[in-house]
Amino acid sequence: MLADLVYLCLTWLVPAFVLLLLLGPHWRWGHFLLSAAYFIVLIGLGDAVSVVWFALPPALVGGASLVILALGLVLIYWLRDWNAAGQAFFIFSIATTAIYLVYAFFVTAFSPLSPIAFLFSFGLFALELTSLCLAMSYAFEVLDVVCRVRWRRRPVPVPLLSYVPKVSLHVPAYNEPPELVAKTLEALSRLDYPNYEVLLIDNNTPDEASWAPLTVLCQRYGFKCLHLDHWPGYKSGALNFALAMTDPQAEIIGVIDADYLIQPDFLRRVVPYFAEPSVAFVQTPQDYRDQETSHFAQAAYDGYKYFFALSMPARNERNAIIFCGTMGLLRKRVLQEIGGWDEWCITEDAEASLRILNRGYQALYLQETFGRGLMPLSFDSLKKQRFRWAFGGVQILKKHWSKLMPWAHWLDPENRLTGVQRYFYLTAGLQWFNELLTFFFTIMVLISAALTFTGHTSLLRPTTAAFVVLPVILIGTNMLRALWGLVHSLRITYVRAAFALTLWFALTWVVALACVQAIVRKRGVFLRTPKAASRAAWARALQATSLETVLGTACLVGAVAAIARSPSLLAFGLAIVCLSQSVIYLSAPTHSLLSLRGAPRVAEADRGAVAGTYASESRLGLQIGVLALMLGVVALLASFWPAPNHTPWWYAWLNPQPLLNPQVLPGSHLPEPTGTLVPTPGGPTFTPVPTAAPSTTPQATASPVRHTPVPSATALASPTTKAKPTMPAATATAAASATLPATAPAPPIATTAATATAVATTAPTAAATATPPPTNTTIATATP
Amino acid sequence: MPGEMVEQWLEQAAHAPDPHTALDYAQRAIDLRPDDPRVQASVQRSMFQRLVHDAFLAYMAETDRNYVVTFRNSRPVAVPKARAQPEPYPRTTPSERLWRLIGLMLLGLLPAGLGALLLGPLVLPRAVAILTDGHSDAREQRSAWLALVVGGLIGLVGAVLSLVLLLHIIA
Repeated sequence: MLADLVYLCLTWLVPAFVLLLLLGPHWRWGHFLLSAAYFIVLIGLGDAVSVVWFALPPALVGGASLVILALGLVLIYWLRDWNAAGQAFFIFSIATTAIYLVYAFFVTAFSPLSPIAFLFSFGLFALELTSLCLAMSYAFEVLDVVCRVRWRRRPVPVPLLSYVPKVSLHVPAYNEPPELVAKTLEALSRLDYPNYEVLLIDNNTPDEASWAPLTVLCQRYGFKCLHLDHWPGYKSGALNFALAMTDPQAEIIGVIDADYLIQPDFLRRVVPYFAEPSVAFVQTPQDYRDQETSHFAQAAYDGYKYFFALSMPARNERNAIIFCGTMGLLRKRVLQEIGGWDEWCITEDAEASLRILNRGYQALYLQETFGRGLMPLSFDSLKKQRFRWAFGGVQILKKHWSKLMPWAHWLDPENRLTGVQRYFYLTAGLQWFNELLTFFFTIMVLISAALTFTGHTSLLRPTTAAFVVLPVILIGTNMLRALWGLVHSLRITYVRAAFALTLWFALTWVVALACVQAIVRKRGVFLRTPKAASRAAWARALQATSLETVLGTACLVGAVAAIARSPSLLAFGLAIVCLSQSVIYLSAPTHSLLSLRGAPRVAEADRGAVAGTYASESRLGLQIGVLALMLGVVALLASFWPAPNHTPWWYAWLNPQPLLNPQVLPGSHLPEPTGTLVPTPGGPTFTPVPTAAPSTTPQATASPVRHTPVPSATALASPTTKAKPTMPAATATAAASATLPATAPAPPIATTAATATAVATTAPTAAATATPPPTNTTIATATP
Repeated sequence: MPGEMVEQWLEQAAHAPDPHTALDYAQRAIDLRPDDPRVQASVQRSMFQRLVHDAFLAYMAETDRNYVVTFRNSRPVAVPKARAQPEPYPRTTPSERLWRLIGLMLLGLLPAGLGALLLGPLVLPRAVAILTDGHSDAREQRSAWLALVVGGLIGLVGAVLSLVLLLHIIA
């Protein structure tokens, strides 16, 4: 039944996704009734395909349709600011994901596996569960912007009238070239706002020759300058002191990075929003000015823009934006009220915004560029910057998780975060772990490849057709949706979006590393990447991504090894997964090398460099590598634990097959249940063969796990199941033909009841091709 | 009276012949009224008059209310923080420690719930200790109740998963 539901969900999801790609960004109107009608049409279309083409039981299809219709109508009402295409796709995505997870759990839990194999498979299931939940949160974010037809909280321009509060602009700098800061200060001096001061805070720059010219520059423009020596608390420590040195008359604080060129109208356009006393901060996008120099810079630029084009507008609708520091203004009184910037956190700006919203203040996101800065010069710098962001993101989660729980308000009545604000901040923290999950997944894939190479596939979960079809579709829709979101939110081509996506992939390892570090470390650390002994730029670029290269190469070797050892469908699927993982990690050296190409960029300071404690990437990589290797060795040793060579009594007793109805692919190892079907008034019931007693069935006592087992599966199927085959012939044929060459002899297939029945009753061709002749006598005794 | 004294120090700072002397007067005012914006303005004015020639400022120490800094070769100077006390972190209340255990229980679900089952019994006595502690406040009490419920639910899930593992062992 669950497998049937999986296929039913797919018949809903696929057309909804195609229509989303076609209509989603262009459909600019929405109404509940129209959305409901669109939704019902899609359900009807999927139902028709399921019943007619896939031959799913009409009763099951009808029941499931009613359930999803009821849930869908509630969600359509809740998402009433979206167009119908977005609503339908999101609802079907949730349904498909939920059904898949239930299915995956049942197959994992109720397949006869050795205990170690169960633990390994359960780990994989946990990864699936977390990854798919995170994927849903990403989907929500993208759809919320691209498919939105009504914006309820988009700020309207407010003119500067009588409210002209004093603004104090803080410019933190660390080891910045004076010529770069000069441009920044010059831009600040041109602001067309009558009441502001500028405070340049040089934070811990060790060489006086580097910071001394800044004082001269500040004098030129009448700005204040501080060099803070041996100052604790990272950038936030310096900004806190700047707060203490801010003119007491100032009402608003702005943080401007030392490389930002601000437009003259920045303050005149943004400050008027503070006339509303409940507004605590206003954020504008961080934009960049050197994206045209190379493909690498372009990809980095698109990656940065994604956050301000998609995440921030979605958050702004729920008063849940993040204060990003640069290009944001903040009410000084509120900053003082929350105790200033948190010196424990290395992303103090985002952390402060959570504490501000927790006090019930409003925040606004104004989607208009008012200043442009410089991006990291090299992939190495980008890695360091991303490490810092990820580390800080997890730090925030570590500190504030209790404020983000559903029960937070009950525990602390002073917590004024709304449910949606909690959701957005929680997912913002959790989404960093996506990369860590990818890393774990890579390790599991590599172990699986090693096991396949050594012929120990018994450690793996049975690979059913649904496990092949659904993840491919879910991964495909997620990837396409991400590309689609980039294309429509940034107005770029698919090729450019794909390039930006590969740069995200390239940062997977460093984000994973940051997550682990943030979990185990109490204080903030920064990343020190491997340094090359060679002076050649390409050698330095490759050395900076040596660990990613090792991982990517290992995945490539895994793909080759898996196919070389046993060229089955399972091995082929594993090889594809290995290849996809290698693409993720090998994107790093590729982008690192690409960052060397293109027009020479302004030779500015390393944007990834900061003052603080550093952690060596090489050492951390070595530690994690040793742990992964140990895990692999344990898995390899554990794979010698014999898999059950008979059907466990509990498996026969629970009889999960009618529920699961999985079609197991070659290379997997699901032993068929043994026992007999006893006709009863309520329908045939399964009577297991006691394992302690001598069995009447050959396989119950002596048959190996992967022998020729099909007929007994047929024996399990009830007459009802036979009459209404749950696995379509087309799918069975497809699975079979995908598995085998047309002329190849059929390998042993461990398959299960309904599949075999479907093959036998509705697809004789497929059965003839893919299933071996009956060899088991159970069929004679079991079929009523 | 402290108020009158503050006024006098500020007045003297405003009319001091040089920034060093002005800062000395302002420092006296800080001791009396650190949160007064006029005192802060006076300190800032004096400091920036000195910093304009040499922007160097070194950190020495800090208290809840003031920074203690020094110019190059100068005496320590107090600068009011002018902000509320930040939230303490990491918090070490009993309920925080209890929730850390709940987090470990959640992770303990990964090895088929065994970790959750092992850690579950540790949650109960700790939660009871908080609930029976007369000194714990209402928030701590609520947190302990909630930890019991959440811990119980995680333990239940862990028990189910462990049962499934047991089935695989005895098969």
